[in-house]
Amino acid sequence: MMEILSLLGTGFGVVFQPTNLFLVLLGTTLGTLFGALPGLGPINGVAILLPICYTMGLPVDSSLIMLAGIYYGAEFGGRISSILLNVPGDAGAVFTCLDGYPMAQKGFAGPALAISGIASFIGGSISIVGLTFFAPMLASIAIHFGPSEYFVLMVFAFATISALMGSNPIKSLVGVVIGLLIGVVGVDATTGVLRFTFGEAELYDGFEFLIVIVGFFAVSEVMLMLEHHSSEDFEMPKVTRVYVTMKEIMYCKWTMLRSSIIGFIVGVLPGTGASIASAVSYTIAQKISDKEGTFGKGDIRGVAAPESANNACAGGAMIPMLTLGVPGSGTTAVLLGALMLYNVNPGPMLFVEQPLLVWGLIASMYVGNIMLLVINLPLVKIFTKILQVPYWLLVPCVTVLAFVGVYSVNFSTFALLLSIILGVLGYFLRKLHFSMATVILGFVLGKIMEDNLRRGFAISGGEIGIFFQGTINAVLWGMTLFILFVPMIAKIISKKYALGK
Amino acid sequence: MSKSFRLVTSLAAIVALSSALNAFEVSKPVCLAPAKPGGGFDLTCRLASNSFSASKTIAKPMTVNFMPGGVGAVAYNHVIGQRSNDAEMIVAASTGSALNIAQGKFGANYTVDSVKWVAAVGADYGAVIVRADAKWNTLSEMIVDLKANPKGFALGSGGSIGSQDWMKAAIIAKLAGINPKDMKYVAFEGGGEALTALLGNHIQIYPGDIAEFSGQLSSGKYKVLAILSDERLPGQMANIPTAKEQGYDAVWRIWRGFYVGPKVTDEQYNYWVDKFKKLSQTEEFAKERELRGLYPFTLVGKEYQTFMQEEEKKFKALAQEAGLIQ
Amino acid sequence: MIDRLFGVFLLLLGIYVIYGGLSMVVPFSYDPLGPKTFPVVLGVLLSALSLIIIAKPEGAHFPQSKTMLNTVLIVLLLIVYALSFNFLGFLLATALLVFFMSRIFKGTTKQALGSAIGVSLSVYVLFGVLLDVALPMGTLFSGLLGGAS
Repeated sequence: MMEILSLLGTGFGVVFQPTNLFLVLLGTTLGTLFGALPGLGPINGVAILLPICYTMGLPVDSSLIMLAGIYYGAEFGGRISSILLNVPGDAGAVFTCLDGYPMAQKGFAGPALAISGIASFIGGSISIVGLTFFAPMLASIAIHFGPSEYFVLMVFAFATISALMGSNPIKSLVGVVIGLLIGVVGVDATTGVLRFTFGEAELYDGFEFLIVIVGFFAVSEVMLMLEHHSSEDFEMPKVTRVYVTMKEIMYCKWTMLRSSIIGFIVGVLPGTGASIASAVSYTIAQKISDKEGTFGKGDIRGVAAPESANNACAGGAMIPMLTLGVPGSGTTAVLLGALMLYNVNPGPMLFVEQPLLVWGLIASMYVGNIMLLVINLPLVKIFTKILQVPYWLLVPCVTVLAFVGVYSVNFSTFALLLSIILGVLGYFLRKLHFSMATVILGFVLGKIMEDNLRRGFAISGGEIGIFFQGTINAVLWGMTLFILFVPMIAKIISKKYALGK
Repeated sequence: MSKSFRLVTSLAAIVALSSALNAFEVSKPVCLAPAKPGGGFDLTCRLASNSFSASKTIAKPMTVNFMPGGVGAVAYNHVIGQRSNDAEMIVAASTGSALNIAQGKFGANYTVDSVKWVAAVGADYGAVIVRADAKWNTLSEMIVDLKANPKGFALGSGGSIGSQDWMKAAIIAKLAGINPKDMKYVAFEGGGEALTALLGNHIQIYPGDIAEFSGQLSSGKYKVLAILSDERLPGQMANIPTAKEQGYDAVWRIWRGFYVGPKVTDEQYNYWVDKFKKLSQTEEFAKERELRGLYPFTLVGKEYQTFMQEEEKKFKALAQEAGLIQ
Repeated sequence: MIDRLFGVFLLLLGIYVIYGGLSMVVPFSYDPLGPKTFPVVLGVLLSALSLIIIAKPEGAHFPQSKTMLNTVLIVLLLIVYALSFNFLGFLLATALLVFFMSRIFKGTTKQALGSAIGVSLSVYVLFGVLLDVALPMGTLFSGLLGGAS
């Protein structure tokens, strides 16, 4: 314990050098910007800045501090366009749209932005504390997650979707299936067989997440905005207040705490990411808290849940990266690449061989997280001004930024065409009341689920028993049953309670 | 409009003519890494870019651009289709690219002769990695066990059937007399995931790449039973035996190199060949190569082109043997 | 009606996925499921669900013809943008896109012109210059700039 604190102290020594402090500020600010701009997320941000850092000759610790700032800064900033425009700023902010946008439409853009800022801060803080004290321990638990455990984890995640099913379960199911099908496209991870790539080399790696959210959210949103804008009774949403009350914060406290922990755990597991973290925390929050059916219509807890989770996930994802040299998410994969570019070999010895690098990074996250809160809360007022920007300027702006983001992933116009095709599909899905949230969930979870199911079978030689072996699997199956039957149990309990009265 | 256009075209013609009179020299050299920043191809490009400028072999700084997709398939198609005469640009490639070309995964009509191969600049080698507490201490102990119980141990690596990671597993299986189709193989997303699975004992044998693995070497969590190189590697790897010296003819080299578009003129191609020839003799190059964990493996110009044709033939045969292609 | 038509589209998609899944050539696989099972199951599921939608469609409200026409126009604009991006270059293609979109969203010609110039230039400066993202200059102009693109 004392040892950790003294190491953290030396880390702060690294961060409080003026250059590094400036880089934390620059990284987090740029990150917020990348997150806020629709179509640009942490992966683009880090990927764009990495070559620049390297070419400018920044030392490795400074580079890493700044790139990490972009990462968690982006998770902070992604909420802004989700809430104001219904266009997620990045992958982790898809679920922030569900309640954030309705809140803004009702005139509560200010509180939604403020609570999501606070939720992001809490999620970030909890995960950094976790990273500081439990990194090696959690890493050793994470390695026990083999293919069978990942598969059961995905079963659990799918079980939480039942909360999203809503009034039309058939259409929600179709949404899940469409999402899963989009995930099928590309080279099969096990056999190398090309699945539905139509001979296009650009489809070998499947649909890039960004193409999917830009298509389903930005492009189709633009089409919907046109209709909304053309209707007779169109008026700009009002902004009532630009702060959040203490009462509202306290109302969300359990949601934020629970979602932070979920996000952190999902982050620690290699191969998952902010999109899964926010999705699962949202659906769980809805399962547990949505007694009046207000989720999806502008419930403040529906904003707090995904935002605390995606920030907590960013902190958690650092653990496998720093302790095992394995990426915990798409962005940490690029961060790992950054280390290798600097001839730092990531691996279990990193903590021992590069203590200043590791602890400098961790300390910088404390500083950066506070900076983000301080930058973001006063800016809420300015952000809400976006709602007053006339559509003839706003819509083209959003479109161009989203397209630059898609283009910068692969430097290909084919990706632009794909996102337009998905946008048209998304337009019809949304007009016909299919749930986009289930489509995204299917897309996010499907590939991990299929790959790990088949890996599990490959290991067991086709025996199904492997998915029921071990403590972790038992716990996960238990959680799955619990989440499926919570509403039923809750109903029985409340009935008894009512009778008792 | 038409007047100014004519002026422009005639100007362009003059520019083209004057440059043809002088010997070719790059003005904005670019190295295209067919992957995301930070990946293996990025490292390959940085090796070229850094050592070209450090050794002053090329005066103009070389920028690194990225074009991820299909382990290089997108870039290969792009170069042949749209940038076939772009002499400013070299593109990074590796053993994996050759494997994919041989299996027709870069396009059914494309072969290694669809582009011009300039130079190979270094290599990594396959390695057989197991957990530190595994009961095997030598390759032959492991092979004997594997032979006795082919389904008893899972091999896992970071690539699908037919990929360069899978090939190493197939080689190991063949050593134990197992048909690669019948081995127990688990494909992960990248070597990192496979290594974690090894640590968690979900798989028992990880056929990896030794330089890529070097960061883990001193952690004490793994054992390297053999390196799949012709001779022992220097430095930190000096006391790890090769498979060959343990009596198994298994070599797997992961080379890294560059190609240019097919319509680049002979003069321009020779320019690059010449520059790489010069570069490979400098100390700066040797230092940069070592920093990136690569071992010496230099082939330039025609030699490299011929080598690529042999690789293609060899990989085609391997893929046919495994039933991957007809 | 549109709901039912979309149901038919989903049904066709489902059948195509089943067909595509079954016609994959798989040399061999290390797991009993292989790459085919998952898509085929999804295709069957999609087809079955779409039959329910076809049988029991819901009403859907699509906008009047004028707005619908504008929606189609926007999609066409975006497609033209994507296709002409490399040829016209980022600046010109973006300026044109922004101009027409701005007009469709009821901006005056002046406002549209202002947005076109403002948005394309500021995005170019931010990404192309400051962040060094390689945005295309346009093959159309490459002759003017001496061949480098």
